[in-house]
Amino acid sequence: MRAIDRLLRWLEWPINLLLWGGLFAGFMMMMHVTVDVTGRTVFNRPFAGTTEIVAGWYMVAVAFLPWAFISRTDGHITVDMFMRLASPRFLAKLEIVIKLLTILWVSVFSYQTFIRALQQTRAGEVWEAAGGFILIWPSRWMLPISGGLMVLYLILRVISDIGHHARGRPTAGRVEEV
Amino acid sequence: MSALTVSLTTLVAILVLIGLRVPIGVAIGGVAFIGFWLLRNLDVALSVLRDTPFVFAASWDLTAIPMFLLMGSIANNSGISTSLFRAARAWFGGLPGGLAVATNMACAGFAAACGSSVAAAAAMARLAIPEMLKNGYDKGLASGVVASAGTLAALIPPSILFVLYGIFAEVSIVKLLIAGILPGLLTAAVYTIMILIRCRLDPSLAPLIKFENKEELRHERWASLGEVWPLIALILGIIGGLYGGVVTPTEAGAGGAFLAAVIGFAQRRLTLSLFLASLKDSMVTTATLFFIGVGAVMYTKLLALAGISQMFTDMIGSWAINPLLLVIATSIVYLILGMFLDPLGIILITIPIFVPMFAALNLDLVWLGVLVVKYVEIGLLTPPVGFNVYVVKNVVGDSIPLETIFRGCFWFLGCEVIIMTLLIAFPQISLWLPNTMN
Repeated sequence: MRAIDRLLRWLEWPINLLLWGGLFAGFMMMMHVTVDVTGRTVFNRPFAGTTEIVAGWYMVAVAFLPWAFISRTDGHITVDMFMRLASPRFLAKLEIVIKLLTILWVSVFSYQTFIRALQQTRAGEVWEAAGGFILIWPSRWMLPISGGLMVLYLILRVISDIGHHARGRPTAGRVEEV
Repeated sequence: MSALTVSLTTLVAILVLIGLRVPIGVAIGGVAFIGFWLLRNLDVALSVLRDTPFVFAASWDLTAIPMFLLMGSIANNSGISTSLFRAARAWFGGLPGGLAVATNMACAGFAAACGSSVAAAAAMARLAIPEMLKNGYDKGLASGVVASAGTLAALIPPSILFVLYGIFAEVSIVKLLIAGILPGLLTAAVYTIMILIRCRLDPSLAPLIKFENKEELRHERWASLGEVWPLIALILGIIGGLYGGVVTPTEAGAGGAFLAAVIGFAQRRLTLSLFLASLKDSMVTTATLFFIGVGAVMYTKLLALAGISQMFTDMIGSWAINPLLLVIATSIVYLILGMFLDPLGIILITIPIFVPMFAALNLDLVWLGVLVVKYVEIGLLTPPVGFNVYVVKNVVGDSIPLETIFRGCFWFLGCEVIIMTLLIAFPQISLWLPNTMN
């Protein structure tokens, strides 16, 4: 069990790396769009390809890179309504089942988006923009990488939770901050 | 399998899974995936999952969401809410229930910089409730006004819910954002009138605040405006830019976030760590939303494949349904869902079903958007799961019981009956402004 907990701690590094990637993309989105609007409205000189770069790169990064971080902080939106009356023991087991369902869903997601990323890489996917072509295929890889990291984290968490549950100890639980 | 069977079965399955605490994104996506598998085959289900997430996320329209969230978060972290409350207190504090009126007005102002109701309620709860309690205000009124006025953030632009609705219902986001202005102001006005009447009839609810030094008060009023004018200019710039078609919602959000940061740094209220916290808060919220969004898009496609639009067209054609009855029936569904579900969940689950129904009746989808957002916001105040009430409870801790906050909200829910009646009876309230746009 110690090895699992050590692996979970080790995973903090790539999880935070992807999170910071998402934050950087958010910052770049703000700056790029602001500069483009200023250029267009004040100097009548818009930046070519802003729409494509913002949508095809920054938005994809913001939307998917923090997924593993969200799982690490148990930040998914859930409704805690009918289960309030359930016993803690039942809830602990239910929590494991829910994580398994999440793993299943995100695994299929990651594998399928991996296949598409591979196809688009081979095809050399680009988007046409005013000033030429914007390379898009590398952006496709953010989906399987984020999903894969999330699956890896959740698998280790489930093993850790089952281990702690069997020993009657509280689970690793929610981690609040980076 | 008929479209009706698919819609009902999938809806029930999603609700059951959500009730079992399965993350909304997994519930809605998983059900949609299985739906494709059953309606067509596994290959089709896999191919939808292979293509949908990237195509959905790589969208210019959706980029408005992180930018609106970032603008609100920067405004919040740089203390704009504090300045707004200070200004509102100086201008409205002397009225019956003056601090509650001030809270309501400050929330309306903050709503114009922040697109999330929960964030607005959390920001204002920390400022306004201690001040009201210190002045002997009724606990129900003090907490109820914060929870209720927080909902203005979803109506007055920028609004995340309008962006989401616009994308899923394929309606102009700019028109939706502009359509929310008058209903938002109407809500703030009705709340204010209710507070004034209640506090005039029962002064024990909110002891009148006496400003001894009139000269000092006058000075404070103008001084407080000095702190908020950059925000007012920013808000007017954004709304004017959107209305005039000069900027898109994304550009308004990005420019707004940039200017809010510049104002925050210039006024020495925003530090680098607060800016990074704002960035993290908004981008993580965006990713959380997209985790649900991927499933929601698949669900929308599933219902389209099942032929839900045709089903409603046939149904409405053969039953000759009165549109008003349909609006009322929809309202009841939203009120029930609002008691249990999160706003994003409600919007993303119901839009694929209700929008084709309204479209079949040729009802205005911008008007429907305003009604949907209003209902979803009402759901933030209704027991047993009223998210804004829980946010306020989280801030006030043990000083105000949960029941008292819900009780305080009932007066505002009473106002909502009047507001919703007006919005349904007079669609022009929502549609007049967007219809004047070029």
